[in-house]
Amino acid sequence: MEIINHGTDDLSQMAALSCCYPPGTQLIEQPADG
Amino acid sequence: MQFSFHTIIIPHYPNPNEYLLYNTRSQAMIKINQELKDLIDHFSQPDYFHLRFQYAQEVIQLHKSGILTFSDEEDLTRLKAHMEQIKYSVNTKSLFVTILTTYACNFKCVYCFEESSRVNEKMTMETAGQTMDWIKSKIIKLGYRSLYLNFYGGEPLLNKPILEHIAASMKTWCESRGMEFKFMMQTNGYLMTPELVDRYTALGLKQARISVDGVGEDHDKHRPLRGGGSTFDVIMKNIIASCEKLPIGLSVSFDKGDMRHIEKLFAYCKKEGILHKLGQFIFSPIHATLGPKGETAKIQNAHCECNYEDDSLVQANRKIRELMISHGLDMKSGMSTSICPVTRDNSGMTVDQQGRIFKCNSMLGHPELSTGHVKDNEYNQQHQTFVHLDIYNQCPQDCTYMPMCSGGCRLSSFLKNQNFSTPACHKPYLNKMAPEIIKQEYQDRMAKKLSAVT
Repeated sequence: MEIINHGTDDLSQMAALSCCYPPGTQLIEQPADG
Repeated sequence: MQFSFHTIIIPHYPNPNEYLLYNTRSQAMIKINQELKDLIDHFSQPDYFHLRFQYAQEVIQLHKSGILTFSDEEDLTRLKAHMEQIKYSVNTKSLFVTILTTYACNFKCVYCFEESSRVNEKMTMETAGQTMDWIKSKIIKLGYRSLYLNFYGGEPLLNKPILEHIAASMKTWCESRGMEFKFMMQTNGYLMTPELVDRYTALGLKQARISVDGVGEDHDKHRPLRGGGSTFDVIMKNIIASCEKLPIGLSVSFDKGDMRHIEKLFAYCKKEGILHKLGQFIFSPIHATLGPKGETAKIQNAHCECNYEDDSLVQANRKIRELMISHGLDMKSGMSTSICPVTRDNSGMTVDQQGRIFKCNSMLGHPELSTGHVKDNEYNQQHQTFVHLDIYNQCPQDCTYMPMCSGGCRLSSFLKNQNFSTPACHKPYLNKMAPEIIKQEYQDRMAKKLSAVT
């Protein structure tokens, strides 16, 4: 088994947060504020 | 023990008889072999009990990371806690506030979502003072450790005195409290001269985002001056002169899957020697917009919503990825957790030129969607309505993508259904794209790991 990313239950520790949904699209130019 | 509803399994990747696992709630990514996969698939069967001992540590780790769960009930309990965090949590590391110095703009872009409610109105010193007091009270009340402002408009540089007053005042205030202060600008770039960049860098400017929709006429037909006239040459002159002083991200829109203008833009930037000096490229499909002031549900350019159909999004995403890779550009890869600011209690703070607060920039110009005013201590009833929409309750709880989607973008729902309370589901898109996005993230992480070793 190889752990590439441990993951977390804590939203504030997540690296990838975005107000764009689905990923790879952007409806409005509004940077996410996490 | 079983796989979580929210675990995506990519079989025989990166090698035959290997499985790449990704959990959409915890963002964990773990690779396992065939034997461990067989054990998980047959966990309660006596024939596999011997493997439970052999893989005891691995199973504990997979459970801890959210990839595995004891039961459906445990999975849903974890999901509920995650949803509560999205709704109520506050990341006190930094407060991010968008401020409109003006609603006026010197451009008249064909797809602008503000245009139908455009007024030539600037923020006053009085409103700027109220806005700063409101920001300070937020910082003191919730204990934020840094402040990040985003100057926006209209065109923010049409009201430089207010921008400079707010930046200088908040910089001084933050630094007196030992807090970091920085700001960015979302500007059309026409007035962003290198001299201005030098001056603003001293005030805390850390990045700029500028929309460029291709080269020459391709750009000018989308983004002309108000009253007519080309803008491309002036913008690019400013970008070329400033891109080594400041990270400049380029926002590029596209329509109906046509990417030819993006190819030309890459070639132009390469010729000018700036392709790899720029910040991130951000690609956005042109979309419909809310109706004029007072007629919000009278959706404008509704035909553009075809750009958001799942198949169009898949094709566009693949084309852009291919273009970026062929030009040696880094693309922000990976899945992400959508945190739609509209339904979060302490997120989405855009203050317009009158001091009204909005949870999403798309709602600017529609006062009935404002969630408060900076001169008041509390948000209004609209804020409570948005925060308690809880769209995900309408979705199947075992949906793989629920933790990263929460029911989808609220603007998207309104553009399609003229209400904010319907899920905006993109499951067909994710079914196609998630494996590709996860594989790309795996490759990027492996490449980074390799370069760190060598």
